[in-house]
Amino acid sequence: MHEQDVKNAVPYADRPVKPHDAVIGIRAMRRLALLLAVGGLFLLYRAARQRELPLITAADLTPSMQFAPVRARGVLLQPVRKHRREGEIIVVSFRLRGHEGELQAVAFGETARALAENGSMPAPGELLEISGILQFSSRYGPQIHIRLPEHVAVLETRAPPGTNL
Amino acid sequence: MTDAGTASTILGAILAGTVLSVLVSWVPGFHIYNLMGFLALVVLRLRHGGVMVAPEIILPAAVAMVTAFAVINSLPAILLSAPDETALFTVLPGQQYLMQGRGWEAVMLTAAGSLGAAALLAAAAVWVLPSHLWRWHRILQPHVHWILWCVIVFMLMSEWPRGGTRGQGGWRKWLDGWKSTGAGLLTFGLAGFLGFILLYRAPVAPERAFQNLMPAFVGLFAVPGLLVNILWAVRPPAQIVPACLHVTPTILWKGVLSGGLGGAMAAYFPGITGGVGGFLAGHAVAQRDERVFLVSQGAAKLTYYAGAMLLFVIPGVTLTRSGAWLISGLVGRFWEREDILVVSAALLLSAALAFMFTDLLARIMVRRLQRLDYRRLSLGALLLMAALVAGMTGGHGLLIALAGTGVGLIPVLNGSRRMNCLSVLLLPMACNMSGFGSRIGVLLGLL
Repeated sequence: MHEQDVKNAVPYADRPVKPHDAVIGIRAMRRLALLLAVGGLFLLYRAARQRELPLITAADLTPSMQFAPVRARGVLLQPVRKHRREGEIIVVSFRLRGHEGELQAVAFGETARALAENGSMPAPGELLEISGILQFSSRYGPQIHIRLPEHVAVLETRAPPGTNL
Repeated sequence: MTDAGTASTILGAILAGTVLSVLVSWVPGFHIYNLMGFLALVVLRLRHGGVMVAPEIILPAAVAMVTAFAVINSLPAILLSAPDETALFTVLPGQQYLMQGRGWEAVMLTAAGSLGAAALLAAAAVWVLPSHLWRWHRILQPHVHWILWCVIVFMLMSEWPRGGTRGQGGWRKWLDGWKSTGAGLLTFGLAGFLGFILLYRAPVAPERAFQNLMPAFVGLFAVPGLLVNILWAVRPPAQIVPACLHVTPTILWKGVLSGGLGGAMAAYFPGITGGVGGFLAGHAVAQRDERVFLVSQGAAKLTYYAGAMLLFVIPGVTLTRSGAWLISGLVGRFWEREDILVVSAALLLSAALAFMFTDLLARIMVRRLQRLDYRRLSLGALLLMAALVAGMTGGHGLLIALAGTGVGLIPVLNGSRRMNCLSVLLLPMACNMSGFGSRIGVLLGLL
C-alpha cells in the first residue's frame, strides 16, 4: 500500500482527547518534586553516613549479599599477594581466616599500590579488620573489594589462635 | 545437555519463563528484574533448605523472562504511558501514534524490531561472538572509562536550551530558555549523588544488597510515570487496528541494525542501559522515518536485555551486565559453547512467543482502551511497586524509592529527558573507572 493510502486509512490527531480532572496543579507538583528529591536525598545521605557497616563472618555469606558494603575481621595467615602488570602493582589480595571459614579480600589500582608501597601491608599472624564492597563472581567466588588503604586496620599484631572472621 | 530429559527441562524452563513474563510485563511500571530478584531470593531460600535448582533451569528461564519482557513491555510503554527507563519513545512517535489512534501499529512496529533483533542476536551468538568477542573485549577494555564520559557528554549536550525564543530579552527569557536544560542537568546531578550513596553505603540490609538499585529504579522510572497517569492521564482516542502492519524490509533492517547497535553498546558497556542504547539508536534514525525509529527502539531494548544475558555465557569473556547480576550468584560456573546454544534457543523461542502474545494483548487492550480507568490501574500498579520495594528492601528501600521519585519527577514535569536519571549508574561507574570514584566517596563522607 502507498504511504499516503496508509495515512488516509488511519485516523489522525483531530480526534478528541479527554483529560481527567486535574487533582493538583503542575506548578505545585514541580515544587513538591524538588522538595521530595532534595529532602529525600538529604535524609538518605544522613542515614547512609550514620550507618555503621555490618560486621559479617564467612558463615553469613550468601549470593544475595552482592554489592553489600561490609566489615570483616580475621587473621592473615599468608603474606599478601601482589599482582603486577609491566612492573607496576595492579592488584593485591589476601585471605583472612577464622573458625567459620575463609574470606578473600582484594584491592585494585591506587589502593593496591598504596597498600604495597607505603609500608601499610599487613603481616601474617595479624588480626585485621577490613571494610569494602562484597562481590560474588563465578570465577573468584565471594571477595571484599577494598576501596581505600585506610580500610585495612590491624587490630592485634599477634592474634589469638582460632579467631573468628 | 544432550539427553532428551535435559532438553525437555530446558524447553519447560523457557516456556515457564516466557509465560511468567507475559503475565506481568504488561503491568505499567513493572520491571521483570523486580520479579527476577524475588525469584532469586526464593531459589536461595530453597538452596538453604537443601533443595537445589539446577542452572539448566535458571539460565534459560531467566533469558526467556527478559526476552519476553523486552518484547511485551512495548504494551504498557505505548498504550498505558508508563514506560520503563528504556522507553524514551513514549514521548516521541509511540505517543504520537497512540494519540492518532494507531497504538496497535506502534506496539507491533516496536515488537517487530525486537523480533528482528532476536534473530540477529541469536545469529551473532552462534557464529560471531564465541570466536571474536574476547578480541574486541581486549581492545575495548582499556578505553571503557573515556567512552562512558563521551556518552555522558553526548547525553548532556543533547539537552540543548529550548524555549526562550519569544518576548523581550532579559533574565525571564533566559530562564525560560534554560528551564528544561537546567532540569536535565539537575536531574543528572541528583541521580548521580543518589548513585554514590547506594554504591558506597547503601542503607539496605546486607542480605538484600543485590537489590540495592531496585528501589532507586522504581522511584526514578516507574513511580513518576504512574503518578502522572494518576494525576493527569489523558484518555486516548478510539484506536484502529489495520488489516496488516505497513512495514517494508528496508524499514525493518534499518531499524533493527541501528537499534541493535545501540542496544549492543548498552549491553556491553557497564553503566549504560537500554535507555541510552535507544537514545543513541534514535539519534541515528529519528530524522528519517518514525516507523524506523519505532523498530529501532524495539531492537535496542531486546538487544540490551537479552544481549546482557548472552555476554554472561560467552566463554572467555563472561561479563555480568544488567540482569546477569541477578543470576550470577545462582548459576556461577564455566560456560561452554552448548550454553550459548541454550541461550540462543531461549532467546528465539521466547521472542517469537512474546511477539504473538503482544499482538493478542495489544488487540485486546486497544479495544478496551477508552473504557480503561487509567487512574485506577496506575494506582494499583503503584501499590504493587510499594509493596515490592518494602518487601524486598524494607523501610530504607522505601526511603530510597521516595528520594528517587522526587528526582524522577523533575524531568517529567519540566520537559527534559528522563534518561538523565540513568546518572544513578553512569556517573559513579564513570568516576570509578577513571580512578577517582573513591576520592569522591571520601569527599562526600561515604567512605
